[in-house]
Amino acid sequence: MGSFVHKTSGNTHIVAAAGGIEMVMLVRDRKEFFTAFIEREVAARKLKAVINGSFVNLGKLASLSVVMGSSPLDPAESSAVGEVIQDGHIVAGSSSSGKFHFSQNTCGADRFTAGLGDPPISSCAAVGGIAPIVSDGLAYGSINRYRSGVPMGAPATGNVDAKYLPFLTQKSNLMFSDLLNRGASVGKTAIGFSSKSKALIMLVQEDGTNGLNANEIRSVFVANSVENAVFLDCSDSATLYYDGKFLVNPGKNKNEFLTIAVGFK
Amino acid sequence: MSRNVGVLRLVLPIAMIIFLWVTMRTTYAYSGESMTGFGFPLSWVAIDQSTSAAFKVALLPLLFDSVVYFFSVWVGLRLLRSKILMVKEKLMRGVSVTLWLCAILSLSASVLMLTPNVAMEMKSVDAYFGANAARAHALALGLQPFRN
Repeated sequence: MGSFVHKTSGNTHIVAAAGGIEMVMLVRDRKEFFTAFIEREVAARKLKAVINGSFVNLGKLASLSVVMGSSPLDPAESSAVGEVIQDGHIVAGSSSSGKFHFSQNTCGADRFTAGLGDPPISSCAAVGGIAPIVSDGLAYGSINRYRSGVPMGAPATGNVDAKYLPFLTQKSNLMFSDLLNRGASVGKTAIGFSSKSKALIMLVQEDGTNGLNANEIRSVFVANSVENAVFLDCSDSATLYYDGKFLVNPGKNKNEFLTIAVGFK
Repeated sequence: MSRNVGVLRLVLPIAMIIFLWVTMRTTYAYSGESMTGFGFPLSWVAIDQSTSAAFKVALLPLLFDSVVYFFSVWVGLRLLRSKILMVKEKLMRGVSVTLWLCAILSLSASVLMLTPNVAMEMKSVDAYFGANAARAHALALGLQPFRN
């Protein structure tokens, strides 16, 4: 079991963990509120911290049911975006190869990675279909940025040819851009790992509070030498359970249909 | 319905129904990334990729598309004016009420699906891609908003 520390910076909760951390993917499989599901899983698995995980897709009827009703949705009425892997098996979701993943490749080992594409199937625990913040030290943002001296014609967004790569300091990403456009007050759930300090860092900001925008969240990770970090499902999906209580609750509608959470112990 | 096709009676509800049920799917793809927008002739709604079950709506394209649908229906009904004027007043009243019911139900369902988590933009939903993106168009039938 890892050692965990919690602090707040403004409206942003920061949980840092190190030393034998275990990541556990949690999949809601019955008709219950997301928060009730997390409380049940925490008790069963003795988890210290839990955050919300994958994006979830809803059909039209399910959307209307969520908006008009107040009871939890059957998990079968929603589908997780991106693969969710536990102990080398896909336990939820489907391939989302154009998006990013965050994974713990070996159970109990303090090594977490983020990368483009589906997570490695051999992962101990992993979540796919998410947005990058930093991957192998390369920062992500709404546009490509280059250091001075870059040859003419370097693209402002999208893939970068080999001749421009040595100058690339920030890579564009649509998901990051969408989140940045929603400003500082939208909820955020982000997670990253620093191989230098062997620390796993979670940042969670409640939706509708004055906090950090996507660029500022990235700056926090970069300042803490985090080489791999991702945004999970943000806005009013942001959820943080820590040390026996919810510090950030999901929105009413999200509490009815979110299905994937990421636990740590 | 004595002299013209009736803006309130027919044009508005028909335009609303067609606007909400018949549109164009545009897939933008550039350099390994893609997104899908909906609207004709301009995309005014797309999935917002920052969170689950969220949309982004561009207000100016929404307004422009609405005007295009309204005038298209108005012109279409003007062309059918002689036939419409032959319909008995009682039947026309029933048709109008039915159209308005369908329009209001469709609009209500669309708004309910859109509003819980919507990001408003002014000019476009595809600004990220700029002019470089490849665009593929297809007919999209069904109640807006679409998810893919």
